[in-house]
Amino acid sequence: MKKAIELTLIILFTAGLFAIAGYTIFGPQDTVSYYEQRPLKPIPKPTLTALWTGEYFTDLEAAYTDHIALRNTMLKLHTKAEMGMGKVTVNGVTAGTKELLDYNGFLRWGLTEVPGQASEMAEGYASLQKKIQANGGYFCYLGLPLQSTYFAESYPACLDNRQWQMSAVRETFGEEMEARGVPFLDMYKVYEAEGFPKEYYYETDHHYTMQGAYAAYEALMGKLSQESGYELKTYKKEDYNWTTIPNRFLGSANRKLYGLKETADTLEIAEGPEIPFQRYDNGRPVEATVYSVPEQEWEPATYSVYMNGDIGETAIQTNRPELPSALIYGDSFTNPLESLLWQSFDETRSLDFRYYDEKTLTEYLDEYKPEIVICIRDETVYLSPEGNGTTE
Amino acid sequence: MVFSGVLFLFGFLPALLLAYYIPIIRTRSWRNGVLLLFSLIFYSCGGWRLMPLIVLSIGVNYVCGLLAGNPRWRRTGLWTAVIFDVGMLMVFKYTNFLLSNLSHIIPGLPSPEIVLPIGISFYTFQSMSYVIDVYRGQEKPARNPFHTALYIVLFPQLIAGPIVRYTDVAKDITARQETIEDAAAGVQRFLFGMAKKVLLANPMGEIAGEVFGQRAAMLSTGLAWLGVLAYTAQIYFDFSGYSDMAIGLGRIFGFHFGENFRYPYISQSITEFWRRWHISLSSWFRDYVYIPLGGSRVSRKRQIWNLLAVWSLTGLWHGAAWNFVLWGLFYAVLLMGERWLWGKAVASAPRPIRHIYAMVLIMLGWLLFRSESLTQVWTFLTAMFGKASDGLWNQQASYLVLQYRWEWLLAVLASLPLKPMLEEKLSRNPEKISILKTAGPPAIALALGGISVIHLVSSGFNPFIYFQF
Repeated sequence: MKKAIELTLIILFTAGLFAIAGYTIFGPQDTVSYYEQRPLKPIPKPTLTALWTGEYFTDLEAAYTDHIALRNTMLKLHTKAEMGMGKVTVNGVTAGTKELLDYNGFLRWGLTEVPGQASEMAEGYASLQKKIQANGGYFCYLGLPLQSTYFAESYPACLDNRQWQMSAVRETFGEEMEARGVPFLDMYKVYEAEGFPKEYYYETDHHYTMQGAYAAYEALMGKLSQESGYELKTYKKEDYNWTTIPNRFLGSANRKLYGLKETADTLEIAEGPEIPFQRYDNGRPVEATVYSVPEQEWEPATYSVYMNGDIGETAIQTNRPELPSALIYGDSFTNPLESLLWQSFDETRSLDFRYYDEKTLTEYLDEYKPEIVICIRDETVYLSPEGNGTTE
Repeated sequence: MVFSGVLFLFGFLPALLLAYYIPIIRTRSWRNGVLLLFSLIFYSCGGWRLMPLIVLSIGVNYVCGLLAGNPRWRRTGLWTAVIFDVGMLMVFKYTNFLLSNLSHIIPGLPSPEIVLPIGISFYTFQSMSYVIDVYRGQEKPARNPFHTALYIVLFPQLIAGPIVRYTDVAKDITARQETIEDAAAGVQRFLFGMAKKVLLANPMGEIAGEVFGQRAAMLSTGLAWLGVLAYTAQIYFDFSGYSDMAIGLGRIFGFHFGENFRYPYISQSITEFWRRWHISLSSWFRDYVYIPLGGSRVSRKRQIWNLLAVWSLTGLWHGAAWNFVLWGLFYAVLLMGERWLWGKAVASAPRPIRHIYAMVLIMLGWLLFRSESLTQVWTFLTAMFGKASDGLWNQQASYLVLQYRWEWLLAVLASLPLKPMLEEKLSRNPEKISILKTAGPPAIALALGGISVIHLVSSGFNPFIYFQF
């Protein structure tokens, strides 16, 4: 019997090795990881330098790991096991809480650089505002909390919710902008005044919901109507046809858990009055829609339903020259807001400088001269001049 | 390439098994040739630039071995090998250390970029031991250069030990028998070793990395202790796990390497600890440095000098930095203290006290080993003994306990000699539970192997600690 058991062990071990090796090398190859939202590393091409230094084999190891047979199954099993074991965080998000929140680590640093950085950024925006005003335009900066700030109280006691940093950044940046007369709409304060309604932010995604976006739309339109000098129509909630997409919602945080977290999150769209328009993405005409609803029932709905996700440049033209034109630029928080804002303007252009590099912001402003310019960013990047933090 | 990496598990190893156990050709020469070729391929994955040096090392030590076996040339063979091997270590491992220290006296000294060849500390010591054993007449020199080459570069122990003596494997190289029993035992040992590395060492390493990377202002007493405890666990499971994998892999191909760890964390004195920890290294220093210096058969003054020399070298072997030297001297002082000062008092203390005494000192030793500077050592010491900037306990400490509670529990259990205890208990009832005794460990090994692979794929790149030596 001992020999039989020994033989079984050897056979199972070698069969496992060969089966996985064989399927990895000869099986179908994915190029993208759906859950990780990144391309899988390609098998590197050997070069003399890379072989000489050993870099080739390091890259080969990484690529082989990316393409290993049953990778997604293993990752899901691992995630499920960790969630089942009651880990506080799994794959960088809090797993035991209702809301899936970012794990922030525990590094703390002095906030002595914040005033200087905030001053520099505010100075940049003040300078940008002057350029826009010189063209007869109005500039407004809309700041939003991240989901992990919105639900900061939901963090377990053993985790740092980073509010010691976020509140300092938010307040200092707000003060610097105000000191320079740059219009700054801090949605954290607006949401706080309403008591942080739960329906404004997703449990399993780092963005706000359509409800939260509408609240931001209302606050923004109020500010624009008061300060821009333009008469702008603010559509009421009842002017929209609110529809809940039946497809299961897969939020960015739940994606890190391979969709294993059960959630009540759903995705809503708000379709306003019929206004004919043309849409151009990166200069090419596309279907005139602001929502990309999944076609199949089994497809999950994601935040990219709004405006079809992050695109370098989008232009929506409604052919209503009596209305002002707008330029919106920022990260993904712009997307659901754009789907509401476009109706109030003749032409709405939006830029995402993470993906757009044909012109600088000022070159774009010089070319199109929009009457209203709105920068929309979340507070984690208030002090960052990178990407959509550009003022040049 | 590392054993606990997918490229090794699902690329290198299946290819090697196929080539080695190919049914048609079963000659010893073929199998040795396959092992040698694959071992060189294994080593070359660290970069082809490492190859000339190891090939040169094989050549020089082969020739020196022949010379050392010749009565006329034995001294020449011995000293050439020692000078060459030690010289290699000095050049590749200690040049920058020497220059940076000398630059305090002679400013403007160059700081050349020297690539540290992977495993150089292991294979130079292994090569030296071969020539020295031949010189001493304990072993005949290998006539076949491929045998010497195979001994030096055999991939299971090439880059992180155990340091294998030629006497232990000479017969295996020329006349080993690959048996099902050995292969099964090897597979089982390999899988348990991989589990130690992936499921215990890696998470403990995450904890240690977080704590040692934390700013002094954020250290609490509890956090500092957790960090040191985690590193204590990490280094043991990492290194012993690797040794298990090396021993297991060796056995799959018919080689029998000696044990490198014997549950060191059950030690009740520092003397006992060093009989259980990295046995192949401590015995190397004993046999090739301490005893030739006179060992314990000299005056006390001379013994002290011998111990200080051996332990400074042991520390330096681990790394070209003063904290490693300090670590070595720390143990020298403790060993001398146990031998001549407080050893009797320790031996007469109750067992739990002896164990706590040993563990606290071992952990303090690892603090010296892990810290990046003497400042960090001091920061941790003050934090551990009550003067932490962030109080007795803090948020991060709570998180690290809760997040890794299963790993902490398993680490404690895996540090204990449960396997020999269980085997001993089961052997008293051979009829009743023979199935459990026979099938249990392989089943557990396979399950752990599967879990380890899943964990591996999820975790990414995970180099061994002792790689840097």
